[in-house]
Amino acid sequence: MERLTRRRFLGGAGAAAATAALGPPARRASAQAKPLKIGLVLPYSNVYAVLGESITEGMRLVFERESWTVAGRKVELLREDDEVSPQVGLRKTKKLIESDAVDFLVGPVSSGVLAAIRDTVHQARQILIVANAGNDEISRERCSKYIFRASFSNWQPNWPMGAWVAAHVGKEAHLIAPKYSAGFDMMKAFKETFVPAGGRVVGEDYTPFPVNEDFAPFLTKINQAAPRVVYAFFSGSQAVRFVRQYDEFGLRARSKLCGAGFLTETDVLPAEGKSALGIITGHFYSTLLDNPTNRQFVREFRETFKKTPDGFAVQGYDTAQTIVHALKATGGDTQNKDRLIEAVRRVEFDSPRGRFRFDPKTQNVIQPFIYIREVREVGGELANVVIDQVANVKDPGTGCTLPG
Amino acid sequence: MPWVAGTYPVKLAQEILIWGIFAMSLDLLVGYAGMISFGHSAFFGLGGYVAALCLKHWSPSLASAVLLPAVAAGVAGLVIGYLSIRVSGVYFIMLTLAFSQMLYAAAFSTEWLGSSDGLPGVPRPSLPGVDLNLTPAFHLYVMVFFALAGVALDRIVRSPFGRVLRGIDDNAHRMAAVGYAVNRFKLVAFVVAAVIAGLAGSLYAQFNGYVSPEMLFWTTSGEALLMVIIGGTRTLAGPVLGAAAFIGLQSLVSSYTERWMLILGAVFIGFVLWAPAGLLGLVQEGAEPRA
Repeated sequence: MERLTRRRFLGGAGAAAATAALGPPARRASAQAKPLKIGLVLPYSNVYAVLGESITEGMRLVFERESWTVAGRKVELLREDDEVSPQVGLRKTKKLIESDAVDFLVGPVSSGVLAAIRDTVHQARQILIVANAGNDEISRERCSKYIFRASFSNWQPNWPMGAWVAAHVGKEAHLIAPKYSAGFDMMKAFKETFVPAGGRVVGEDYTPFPVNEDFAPFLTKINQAAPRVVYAFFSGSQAVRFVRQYDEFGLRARSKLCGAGFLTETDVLPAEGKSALGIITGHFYSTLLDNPTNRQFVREFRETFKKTPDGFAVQGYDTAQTIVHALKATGGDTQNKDRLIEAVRRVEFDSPRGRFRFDPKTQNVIQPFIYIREVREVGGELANVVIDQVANVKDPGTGCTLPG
Repeated sequence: MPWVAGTYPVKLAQEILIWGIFAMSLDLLVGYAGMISFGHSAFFGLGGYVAALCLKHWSPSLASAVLLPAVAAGVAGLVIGYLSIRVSGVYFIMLTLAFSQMLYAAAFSTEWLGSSDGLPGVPRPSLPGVDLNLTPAFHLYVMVFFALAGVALDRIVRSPFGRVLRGIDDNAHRMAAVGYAVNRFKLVAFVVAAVIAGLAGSLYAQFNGYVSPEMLFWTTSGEALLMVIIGGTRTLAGPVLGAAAFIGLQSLVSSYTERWMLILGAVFIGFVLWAPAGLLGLVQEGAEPRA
C-alpha cells in the first residue's frame, strides 16, 4: 500500500542491482536480521480515528525516507485498532506483546487507554512510545522505565499560558473545559502560573463529555460575568462547536478567547472558519514554523498525503524518528533491552517542532518551545501564527522516581 | 490447557469466561424472564469499581475481590429493579438504560474514581499458597467462579422458580391470574442477575488490573446482549458460546480489518433471520439425526 516514491524506487532498484551482482542466495541483508516489529495501538475507528490516521501518516513519512529498512532491519508496522476503548486497547496490547513479540509499542491516543495499559506494559518490560495521550500521571507518579512520550503531557501547553495571558491579555479569566481528566489536568496547569502572576479565576465550568451539543448555558453565564479572558480547552468536534457558538453569542468582542492548542489545530480550523480569528492558544507546533526540518516535513507530507499536517502528524513523525535513531545507535539490536532503553533516552534530532529530546527524569519530551499562536488569515487561509514562544518546557515530573 | 498454550490465548480464554458469566446472568433476564435489560452494565461496572476500591484500599482478600462487589451489585439491583420492573417492554429498556448511564456519568466525572481514566493498579487477592499473578493460577480461579455461577444459574432455571419465570415470559397476565406475585418473581430474578453480573465485573477488574467508566457504559450492555442473542437465548451455554464468538471475532478479525463491526453486524443479522436459536441451536441441530 505504500506509495512508490522516487527515493524508494531508487533504493529498491539499487538493492535489486546489488542482489543481482551477488547472485543467489539473494536475501543477504534481510536474512541476517529479523524484521523490526512496531505494534501500533491506535484508534482507527470511532471518534479519534482521524488522530490515529494522522499519527500513522507521520510515521510512514519517516519510514518511507528510510526505505522501510533501519540498521539492516526491515520495518513492519502492525496496526491494531483500540476503538478508543480501554478494554479493547488492553487486549490489543497483550496481543502485540505476547503473541507478536513487537520490538516497540506505539500508541495510544486516548488517555483512558494509556491509563489502562500502563501496568501491563511496565510488567512485560515492553518499550512503549506514547504518540498522543497526555495524562500528566504518566510523567509523574505512574512513570515507567519502559515508557517514553514523544507527544506532550497535558500540563505542557497550558502551563506557560497562565503567566503569558496574565501579562499580555488580562488578569480576570473564566475557565471552561470538558469534564474529564484531560480537562482537569489542563486547567490546573494554567492556574499554576496564572494565579501567581496576579491573575484571578472568576469562574470555572466543566461541560459534559464526550457528548455536548449545546454550550449556550455556559456561554450565557460567561456573557453575564463578562470576564476579560476566557481560557478553554476543547478538541475535535467539540472545539468546532464551542468556537462557533462563542462567536454567535457575540462574546468575541468582549472576552478574549485563549486556550490549549487543540482548540484551533489544523484538524478543526477550517470548520471553525472566521469564528476562530483572534483566538490565542499555546501549542508545541504550528504548521507555519519556519525551520528547515518543518519546511521539508510540510512539503513532503502534502505531496504524499494531499493534506496539511497537524500536530498529531508531528507526534507520529517524532515517534518514528525516535525509533530510527535509537535503532541506529544500537546497530539494529533490540534484544538487549537495557541498551535499547539507554539508546532511546539519548535520542536527539531536529523535529519540525524544534530540537527533540527526552527529559531523562520523566522520559517525557522536553518541548523545545511552547509557541503562543494567534489565528490569523494568511494568504486567504486561516493559520496559527506564532506571536511569542517559551523555551524548554518540561513537565515537573512530581512523584516520578526514575534515576534521571 | 493453560500449561501448554502461550499466554495470550489463555488470557483470551479468561476474558471469554468472564464475559460468559456476565452474558449468562443477562440471559436469566432476557431468555427466561423476558426482561430485556439494556442496563446490565450498571452491575458489571459497579462490581468492578467496588472490587477495585476494596482491593486497593481495604484488603487483598476474597471478601474484597468477589463478596463485597457481588453484594453491592445485589443492593443496586434491588433498588434499580424495584423501580424498573413496574414497567415492561420498551419502557423497561429505557429505564434500565437510564440508570446505567447515570452511574456511568457519575464515575466519568468523579475525580476520586479516576474520572474518565478510571482506576489503575488493582491488585489480585492473595490466597494462602496460591499466587494469582501467575496466569495458570488465575485461570483456575476464574474457572472456579465460572463453574459456580454456571451451576447456580442452572439450578435456578431448572427449579420451580425458573419455571415461573418462563411462565411470566410467556404470559405474565395469566401467571398473575393464577396467583403468582409476578413482580416479586421478576425482582428476585433481577437481583440474582445483578449479583452474578457484579461477580463478573469484579473478576474483570482483577483480570485487567484496571477499571474504567466504560464498564458502566451502555455499549457494554449492548455487547452482552449481542452475545446472548448470537449464542442462543434461554440456554445458559449459548451466551458463553456467544461470548467466545464475539471476543474471538473482535480479537482476531480486527487485526486484519477495522471493519470487523461490519462482519459482526452481518453475522448478527444472519442469526436473527435464519438461526434464532443461536449458535447453540445450530450445534444441537447438527447433532440430531435427521429423520
